[in-house]
Amino acid sequence: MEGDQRSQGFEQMHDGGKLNELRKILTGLDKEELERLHRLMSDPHEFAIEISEFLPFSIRKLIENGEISKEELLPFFEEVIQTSIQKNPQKLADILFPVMGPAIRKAVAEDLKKLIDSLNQTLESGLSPRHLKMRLSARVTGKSYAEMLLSQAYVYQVKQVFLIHRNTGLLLHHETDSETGACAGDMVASMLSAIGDFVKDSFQSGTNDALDTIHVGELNIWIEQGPHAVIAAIVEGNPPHELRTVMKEAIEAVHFNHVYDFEKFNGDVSAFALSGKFLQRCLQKQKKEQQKSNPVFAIALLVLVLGVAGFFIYRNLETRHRWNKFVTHVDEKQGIHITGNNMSGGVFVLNGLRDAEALNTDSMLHSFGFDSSNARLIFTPFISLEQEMVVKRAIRLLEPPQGVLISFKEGVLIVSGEADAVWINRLKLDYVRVVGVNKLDVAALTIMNNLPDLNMIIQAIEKHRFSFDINDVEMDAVQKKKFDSLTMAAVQIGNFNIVNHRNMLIHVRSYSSKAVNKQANEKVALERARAFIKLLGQAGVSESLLKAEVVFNEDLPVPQPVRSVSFNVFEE
Amino acid sequence: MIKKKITMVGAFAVGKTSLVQRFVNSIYSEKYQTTIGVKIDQKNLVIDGKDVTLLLWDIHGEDDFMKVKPTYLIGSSGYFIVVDGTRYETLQTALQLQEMASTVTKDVPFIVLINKSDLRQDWEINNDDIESIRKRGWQVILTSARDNFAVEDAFEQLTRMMLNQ
Repeated sequence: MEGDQRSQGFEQMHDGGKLNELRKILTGLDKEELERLHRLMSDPHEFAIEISEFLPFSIRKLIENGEISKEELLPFFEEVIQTSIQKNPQKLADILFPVMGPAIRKAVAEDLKKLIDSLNQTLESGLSPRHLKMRLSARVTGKSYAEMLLSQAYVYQVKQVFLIHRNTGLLLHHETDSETGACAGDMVASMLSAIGDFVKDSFQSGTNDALDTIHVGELNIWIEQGPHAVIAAIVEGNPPHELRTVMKEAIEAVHFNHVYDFEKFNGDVSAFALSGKFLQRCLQKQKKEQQKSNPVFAIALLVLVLGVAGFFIYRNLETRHRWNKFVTHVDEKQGIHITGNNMSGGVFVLNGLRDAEALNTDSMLHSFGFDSSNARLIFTPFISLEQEMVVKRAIRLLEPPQGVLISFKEGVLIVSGEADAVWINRLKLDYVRVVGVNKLDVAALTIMNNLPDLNMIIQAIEKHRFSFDINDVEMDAVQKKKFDSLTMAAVQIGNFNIVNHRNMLIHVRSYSSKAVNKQANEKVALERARAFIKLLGQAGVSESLLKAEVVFNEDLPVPQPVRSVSFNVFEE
Repeated sequence: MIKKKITMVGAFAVGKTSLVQRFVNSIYSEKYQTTIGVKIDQKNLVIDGKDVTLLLWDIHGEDDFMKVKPTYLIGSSGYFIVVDGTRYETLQTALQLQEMASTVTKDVPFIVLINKSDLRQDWEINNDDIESIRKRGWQVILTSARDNFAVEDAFEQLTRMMLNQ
């Protein structure tokens, strides 16, 4: 409302030229400038834009003048960033994205460098002769290796500084370097004081004389006396004489700053906490210059590690490659079907199906450089209908003679060549036993007539006669030879019957006599004939070809020896 | 933090070290007593709400071969004079040591500890002796390091006396 009135007032003033002149004289501003100021006052947005140009500069000036400290601004910015992250973390992530990559790279590179340096230092400290010697010394002296290493790293190092009240031997203040652990400072201080008194008493030295150095192995205790207090510095190594000056200045500074405290001292050491800054000046050290060495150990180890890792990786890859070649090789073979290939407990495992006729997988495994320690083959038996397997199976079952070829195609077993009639007959009966074969093709198979003439066979049979003892059919060596010849001829009769569809029979004649007891003699003779038939049957002659017969000498024109057996071939 | 030096004096084998051992945990071995004549132990106490660190100087007992070094008493805020109740001569030594100590320490508080009260039946020091010591205005406490009798009280009492001085 007030703004509107003011605006109207401006309009009226605009009309009035004199009033404008008067205003310019009074304010020093013309109409445009006043309007701009009015706009800024009435429009917060425009005002914000206007002052935004100066705001950063103003803040910087305020900080420079000390009117605002960075510490005061920090919580504000932290809060703003925290709110922003809580509200929308993506936004800050987008802002940081361009710097994050290089920052991470730099950090990783730094860490890697540190790691290599540390690795090299560790290896060097672990393996170099100098450090091995140091380890040995540490063991001999009973010091820790770290302590030994540290002592070797410095020309000298003030490890602890004690401010001790001269009269009472009480510890007023104690400073120690960051690497040394705190010790029982009060007792150490008192003991140092006691040692000082002891030395003084023992050697009757003058009142102004005091103990100023104690040597203990590589440790030096430097003592700097003041009127009321002493400074004792525990130093490792060989300190320079300048350290004495520093200690002198420190004890002087302590006395200068604690005159009153010393005069009123009643055991309260709180006031001497302020003397710490003077004592700290005495905690000096000088590091030995270390020659920058090439990271030989790190490189050697890296090469070694890479070499070993490379070897194992190569071996692993090569083994895997060899295994895969083996699996492919096996899978290509007929009669084998792979169902699974994996690795279990560091051992290759191959699962599959295998026909009994398929090639031996164990020998294949060995030929590829594997054995049971690194590979296991688990095959379930199955019957393959692959061509090669069916043919192998047929050969195993049918046992074809030489000159016969067997092949298989689309369920048909094709047999070609030349074979005797007996085998061909057996083939025609047995081919159905071959799994996978539905049909037999013998169009290209010719019968080979290799049977001898029937009369020759009959002669070969009938020429034999065997004589036995009472109640016995045992043969001697000569008779056994004759028996084999008889057997061969008897088998040929069987074959002759098959090929020629005839029914030739061999009568096994057992000779006896009617004398004394005809019936008993007949019975014994028949038993003998049957026992002989059994022998022939055991030798491979079909018993259906044989017929037992008893012949009495009394019925013959020419008597035959009793207890003998002869043979006659007849067609039934 | 208040620190006070207390010295233990007395004849040889009166039980000074045993009394200190009853009171503190030591880090130094007793060999220091035989080498430089003193062993130092530390004990932190809270007396009347104040943290006090006591540095106990256990001085080698005086005998025919070794005298107590007066310098070890310098700076003491208080001291114990330890007497063995079973040996009368240790009381005589104590009286001499007190004379020396008061000269060196400029009249700081002290307490006479008549130790080995667990062997009371064997004591050569009788009540009259004790009474005569008390008549000198000296504080006397009967202690037993073996039975841990009145040891802590003695140290606390001397500390209070030192703080109140």
